[in-house]
Order: sequence, then structure tokens, then C-alpha cells
Amino acid sequence: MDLEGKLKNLDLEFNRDGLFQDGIMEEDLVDVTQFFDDSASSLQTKTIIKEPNFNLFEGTHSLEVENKKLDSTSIQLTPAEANFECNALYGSDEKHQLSYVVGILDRLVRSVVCWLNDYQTLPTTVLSCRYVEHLLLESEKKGQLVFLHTGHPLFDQILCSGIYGVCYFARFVQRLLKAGVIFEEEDLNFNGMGLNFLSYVEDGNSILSLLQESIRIASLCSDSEVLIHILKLLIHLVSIEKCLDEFSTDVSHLNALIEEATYLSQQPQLSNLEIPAGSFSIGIQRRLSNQFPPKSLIIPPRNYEGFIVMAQDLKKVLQVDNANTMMEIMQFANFFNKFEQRHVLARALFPLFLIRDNRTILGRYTLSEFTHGHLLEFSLMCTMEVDFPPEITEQPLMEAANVLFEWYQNTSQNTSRYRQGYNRQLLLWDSLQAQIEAMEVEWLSKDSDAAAIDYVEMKEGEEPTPLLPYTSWVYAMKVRAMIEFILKGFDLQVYKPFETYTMYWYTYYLAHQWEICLKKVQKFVDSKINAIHGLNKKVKKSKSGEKRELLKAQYRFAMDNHMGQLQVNKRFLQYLIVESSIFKSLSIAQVFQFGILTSYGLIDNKSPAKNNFTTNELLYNLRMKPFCSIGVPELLPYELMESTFKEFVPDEPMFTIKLNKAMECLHKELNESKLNVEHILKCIQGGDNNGVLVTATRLVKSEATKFYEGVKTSIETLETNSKKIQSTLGSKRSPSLREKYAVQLQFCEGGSSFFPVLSLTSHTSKKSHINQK
Amino acid sequence: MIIYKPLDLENLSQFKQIKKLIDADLSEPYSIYVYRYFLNRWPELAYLAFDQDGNEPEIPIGCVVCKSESHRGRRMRGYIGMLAVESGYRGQGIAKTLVTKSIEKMAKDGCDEIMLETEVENQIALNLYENMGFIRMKRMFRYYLNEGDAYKLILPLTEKSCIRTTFLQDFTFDPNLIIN
Ligand SMILES: CC(C)(COP(=O)(O)OP(=O)(O)OC[C@H]1O[C@@H](n2cnc3c(N)ncnc32)[C@H](O)[C@@H]1OP(=O)(O)O)[C@@H](O)C(=O)NCCC(=O)NCCS
Repeated sequence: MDLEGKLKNLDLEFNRDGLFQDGIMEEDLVDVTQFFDDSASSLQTKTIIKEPNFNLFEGTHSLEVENKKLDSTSIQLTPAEANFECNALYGSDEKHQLSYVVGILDRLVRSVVCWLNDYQTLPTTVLSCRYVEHLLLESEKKGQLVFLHTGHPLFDQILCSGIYGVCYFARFVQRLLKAGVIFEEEDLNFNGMGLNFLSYVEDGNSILSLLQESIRIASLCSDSEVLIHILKLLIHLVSIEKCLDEFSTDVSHLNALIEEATYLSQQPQLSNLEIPAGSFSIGIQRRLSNQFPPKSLIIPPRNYEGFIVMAQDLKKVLQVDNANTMMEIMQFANFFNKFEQRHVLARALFPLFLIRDNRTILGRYTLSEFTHGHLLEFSLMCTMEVDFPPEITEQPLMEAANVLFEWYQNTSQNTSRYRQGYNRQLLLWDSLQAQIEAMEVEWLSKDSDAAAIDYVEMKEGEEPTPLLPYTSWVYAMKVRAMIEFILKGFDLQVYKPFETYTMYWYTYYLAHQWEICLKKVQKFVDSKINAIHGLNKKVKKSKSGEKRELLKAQYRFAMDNHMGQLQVNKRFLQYLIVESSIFKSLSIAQVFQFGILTSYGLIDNKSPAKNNFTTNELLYNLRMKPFCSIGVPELLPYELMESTFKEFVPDEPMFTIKLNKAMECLHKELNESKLNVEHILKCIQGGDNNGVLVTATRLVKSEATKFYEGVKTSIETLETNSKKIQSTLGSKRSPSLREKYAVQLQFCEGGSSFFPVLSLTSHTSKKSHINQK
Repeated sequence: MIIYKPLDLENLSQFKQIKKLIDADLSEPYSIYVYRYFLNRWPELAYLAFDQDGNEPEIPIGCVVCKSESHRGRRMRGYIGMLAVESGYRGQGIAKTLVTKSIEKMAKDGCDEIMLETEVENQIALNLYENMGFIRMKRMFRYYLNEGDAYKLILPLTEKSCIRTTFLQDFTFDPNLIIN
């Protein structure tokens, strides 16, 4: 009910019976006016009277009477908007009426795109349509769908069915939002203004029948082609919920949606159609329960392409169903939302489609199978013969499943949340590692079965080390998360140029730790593979028939059941090792570049702050705060960062020689990383049967290619940039350079945002404020 | 000459002017409650700048509004809630002085860090704070009602700022009581 209506009901004369129906006599009531006035007059201006739970958060989200920016009752409507009558028949003749209905539906449908693709609010887009408000209110009163009474089926049937199509789709969006994967306000606004979005409608079928009936009626009218296409588009929107209801991977509706959107985007007459005056307005913000400040109406542009983006992104998500291995699922998650942020509905759908309410993954793996699968495809394959005791495999595996789910959920978050997600995950991986490692080590030291576990010499002559397959996997996941956390900071422009040294120096350290771990696991895989080959040799050497048969059977079994997977593991690990090497090379190249620029006095690893509030050590420690509690890899102290920094800055004596040496190292690293990226790219193209690397990117081939192509472009840009710097600065240092040039972190077109370029810019004016972007 | 004074809470015209200064530039409209929330509780953390030689020496031409509270009971966090300088007075170091004064006060009161949020597009504010030592801790997606991203910035004052709250000890007393 609108506010004015409510106030009216409060009027004593108007509603005498209602107020006193509980048997309270009018004479029992006390007039508090005087009391109220007295109390109010003794209030100080600064006094706040509030409900105890009203806090700052509430305050920043509250309305304020008579504050134009915050008072939605101050919204001014034109008479046509204020008095819009939904049950009136608009249009002087049939043609005109049809044009109005098409105009209204066209605008409404385009408003959906503004709402979802452009992150606009619901009230300024979909709910700005007076018909939506009217029909939802009236239907809720009846608990069923109601229709307009204009006396013309174009409005009473066709327009209504279109409106309900949009509302039903909105209901699906609301459901996705409530699943808690994406964030209200941040990713999506669902300020429903207290309206009930068809909760009384059992399923989409009734809406689909309405729309189909409308298409039938529309096809009887002349010139109704566009209208029919809009109605069809709505049918496909309504059908999207099948992805979630039935986990259907049938993409025919999504393809049809793309087709309809393509057709509609090519109709120039749309978007310019006249609509009945007042049929779209911000009136709902004034009329209905509104907790948000007034916002202006969004006039949607021609944006049918928005549906194509939505449908394509949803189709992409459904492809995860084709994954054959855990690595493929993981790589899918890793890449599908990495280079470009996917449509919000696709991002919301992904974790729900993957990790289902019935506690299965993709409907085919239990939680423990899923986690165990990840381990097998990484490290556990090497110790298959050993039965790990349940204290290692059960409880910790459940914990591991939870952290792994966090990882998966995080991959579909918006780009800013994504980094924060890693920040949180680090703690989880770290405590999981502590827990699992303690158990694995204890078991190794106590249990005699454990003796069967493999120990491998990492280097010749060294004491053999045990694999600790569980711990190794968790550790590798953790270190990878740390690297991603840091590098994503470059993408989000969280670091200033002066921090570049520290962050890449740290990335190098982490990538190195990661590489050590991967190589260790790979060594175990190798030793396992060799052991199987060794069996064959033993078969050949063995003389006794019985023993020979036994060995032969063992060999066969291992070849049939283990060898294939071991080879895959080995190649997947090799891919990760190549990746770690790329991260190392690029990070150290950035470090060299930074050192070179420092030697010219153009940048420093210190904050430019000129006051004494803080210190560089505190700033460093704050930067490393996410890692401060992590045991391994241990946090590198500030002093170490400082002392190594000096080593990267060429100085006198023999500045030129040192400079050339640094340049040489830089180019060597860039060359190496380029070869490595090209290697990965080739293997992605060739597919996983290439015999060298398994990248497991079959389902995200184009996304993964784009990512590594981006890295390649960055490498090339780093190379040209470094040459440009050298030719600009020469080999002579002078204090005047600082007045001439500044250093910026710049993204290069098509490049990886994880590796922006430290580029020289000239100061345009004496006092430039953009010296550090 | 520009002079700087803490807020006089009883002076309503100061309150109104603060509101006017802030409302003029900030994308996010604040209700009176929000102003009162900060100013009533932390009047000593609101500094105003006055132009003594101007036409209205009583009316502030710039202000900074802050608060300081314990963060999860483990760390004292100062927070710069609002900052604005009247357009005709910009570029003279007034904001820098206002912010410096408020940070000095919060540091003296025992804050371990100073935090604030600012829009990614607000290059002037970013320059201002980053030149004072603040660093960007995280980026927030479509943070404000006008739908731009924002950064959360922190200036660490003590080592406590650099340790996750999970690994800090609880305060044995409620520092909020002592400071206010
Ligand atoms: C931000 C604001 C308060 C700055 O006020 P000011 O008094 O002009 O600022 P100052 O003169 O003290 O300048 C301080 C620093 O800000 C930066 N800065 C100021 N003007 C700048 C400009 N035009 N371009 C780039 N940087 C600028 C500089 O880093 C400057 O330090 P420097 O002179 O040592 O280089 C003012 O512009 C304002 O009121 N803006 C609107 C409200 C707002 O954005 N508030 C901040 C919200 S968090």
C-alpha cells in the first residue's frame, strides 16, 4: 500500500472502528501532544533519537525527509506519470496499439540488459515500467496472475504475458542471488521494492503457455513479426532456469536466445518506438516501500547484444559438464572468468552448477571422490599402493574439500572479490596444511605400513625424503594462491610503482618455492614410472616361472592401471613447472628493470611520503600482512628485501658494466619466458595428446590461449620498453633526469594485466600530479 | 591566512557548513544521522579550516571528519570519513594540513592505523593520501552508489596494523572507553 494511503488510514475519523476494535475506549486514551511538545523542546539540536540497532551502516543506507538527494517522496512526477492508468487502452487504432505494445515490451526487455549487464538498479530499469508494478501488485493480492482489462487482447493478453515473462525471469535471478554466490549491490541489485516476484506461480510452464498463446494471437495480427520475436526471446529467457532446475546442459534455448537477440538487434525501428506517456517512470520509488535514495531513470540504449553476451557466458559455464578429469574441471574454473569478467548470471550459475545441492559435483562425484581425484591427479598417484589410514584420509579430506570449494567458488567472483577470496583462502590452506602435515609426519614416524611409502633422493647423495602427498598438494595450492593474490594486485592497480620491486621480488620467491614443490612431486612420479619399467626388466631377468608370472601380472597391472595416469600427471606437473618458470622469469625481469631505473634515480622502493607517520618497514609489513601468519614459505623480512634490493641496482664503480650485465640478465629472462609461453601455447593448441605437456585446457582453449597470448604480448612489450628506456637514458646518470622523467606502471594493449610495464613518462609541467599512477 | 580549529559541536552553523562542503562534492549523499554519528562522538577528530581574511571568517572553508575505534577488539583503527575543501581554496595545501592534523591526533590517541576509502577515479584524493604514506589494500567492486570502484587505503602507524586480527590479542580493556 502506498504511503499516503497508509497515512489516510491513520486518521481517527476515517478508521474509527479499526482503531478501537480491541475494545479500547476512546476516553481511555491520553492526549500526549503537550508531553511530546515539551520533550521535543528540551532536545538539543545534536541529539540523536534512534532505535538501538540503527548504526552507521543503516545510517549510510537510510532515507531522509526533505533532503532532496535522500527523500524518495520528493520525487516529482509528471501528471501523465502520476496518473497513469494501466487498464486504459492506449493507441487510436489497431496499428497504433500494436506499436505501443511493441514499444513497451521492447523497452522493458532492453531494461533487463541495463539491469544485469550494466549493473543498474531494478527500480530504475525493469520496475520503472508501470505495468510491471501494477500487475505484480494486483496478482499478489489475488495470489495468482491477473490480467489487464483494456478490452483488447494486445494489452490484456500479449502485453501481460510479456510482462510476466520478464518478472518470472527476474524471479530466477533473485533465486541465483539468494544462493549467496554473488553479492547484492556489488554484482547485482535486486531492490524489489517489496514486490512479490511471482512466488505463487508454481513453475515456468504456466508463463511459457501464456507466451505461446500470445505468439499465436500475435501471429493473427499483421505487422506483428517483431512482437513475435520479442515474445520468443522471453520464452528463452524463462527457460534459462532449466540450467539450474534440471542441470540441463541442453543449450538449444540459449542458442535460440542468441538468435532472437541477433534478430532484434538488427531492427532499426526498435528503440525509437513511441510508448504511452507515463508508462515508464521513477514513480515506483515514490509509491512503494523504498529503502534507497532516489535514482534517476535509466533509458536503455539499443542493447539486445547484451542477451547474446549473457547466453554465451551461460553456455560456457555449462561446458564444464564435459570435463573428463579433475584437472580439466580445475583448469576450466581457472580460466573461464580470468581474462574477462563473465556475465553476472554465468558467474552465479557456475558454482551452483558445479557443486550441487545434493552434495555431488556435476552430479557424478561425491565430495570425497572429487577431492581425492584432485590429489590423485597431482601427487597421490605416486603412493597408490599404500593404504593411508583413515585419520589422514577422512577428516582432513573433508576439510580439504571445503577449502577446495572455496577455491572453486572464488573463481567466479567479480574481479575485486577474486583477490580478496585468495586473501581469505590463504589462512584456510595454511591451517589445512598444518593439520595434514602433522598427521602425515606422525604416521610416517609411527606406523610400520608407512615404511612402504616411497622415499626419493632429491639430489644424489642426499637423504631420501618422503613425498607427503597430501601435504604437498595443499602446499602447492597454497603457494599458487599466494602468487595469484600478489599478481592480481597488479591487475587491480593496487600497487604504486615504488612497490613494484617488492611485489615482483616476492613473486619470484614464491614461484621458486612452488617450482621446488612441483619438481619434487614430479621426481616421485618419475621414480614410480621407473619402478614400473623396472618391473619389466625384472620379468625378463626372472628365471623361475612362477615368480616370473607374478611379476608379469604386476607389471601388466601397473601398465594398465597406473602408467597412463602417471604419464598424465608428469606432463601436467611439467606444464605447471613451465608456468612457474614463466612467473619467475618475468618477475625477476621486472626486478632488473626496476633496479636499472633506480640506478638513474628515477624510482625507489621507498614510499614517496614526506612525513613521519609511518616507516618503509611498516609499509612492507602491511603489504605482506596476508602472509604474516604463514609458516612455510616463511615470510621474508624487510631487511632481506632491502639488502637484496641493493644488489639489483647497478652503481659505481663500473656502473656501465654492471648496467649492461643487468640488461643482459633482463633480456635473457624475457627470452626464456617467451620460449616457455610459446611452448605452452603450442601445447594448448595441440591438445593434451601432444606428448609433452598436459594443460587440461581442452574446454577453455580460447580463454587459456588468450591468457598466455596476453603474457606473450607483455613479454614483448617489456622487451621494447626496456630498450626504449635504455636509448632514452643512455649510460650516463644525471640528477636532472628525475626532473625530466617519471615512472608509471602501464598496461599494454592485449597484454597480461599481471605484468604491467614500468615505463618512462616525461613530466609535462613542473608540478605534475600524475607522476605515479 | 588560513587557520585550523577542531569542531565546536555546539555551533550549528559549523555543522551546516560541514554538511554543505561535503554534500557538494561527494557522490554518496549522507543523511544528517551520518554527520551526527561522526561529529557527536568524535568532535575532537573533526578539524575545520577558516579563511581569516575572507568575507566570512566564521564559516569553515574546509573540513575533515574522522573517527577512531577498536577494530574487532584487537587493534585501534582511525578512519577518515569525510574530507572536502571549498573549490576556490583548493590546491593550497589546506586538505593536507587538515588530514595531517587529524592523523596526528589519532596517532596520539593510540591508533595503530588510519583507514579510508576513496573512489578509484578520485586521483586528487589518491595523490593526497598516497603522498602521506597510505597504501591501497584492496579494490572494491562498484562500491559507491554511483557505481565506481573504490580503494581501501591504510596508513600503518604501529606493527599491529601489519598483523591479521586473527593473530592479535584481544584488548584487555575497551580502548573506546578511554579515548572518548
Ligand atoms: C581532495 C581535496 C580535499 C583536496 O583539497 P586541497 O586543499 O585542494 O588539497 P591540497 O592543496 O592540500 O593538496 C594536497 C595533495 O593533494 C593532491 N592534489 C591536490 N590537488 C590536485 C590536483 N588538482 N591534481 C592532482 N593532485 C592534486 C596533491 O598530491 C597535493 O599534494 P602536493 O601539492 O604536495 O602534490 C579537494 O579537492 C576536495 O574537496 N575534493 C572534493 C571532495 C573529495 O574528493 N574528498 C576526498 C574524498 S575521500
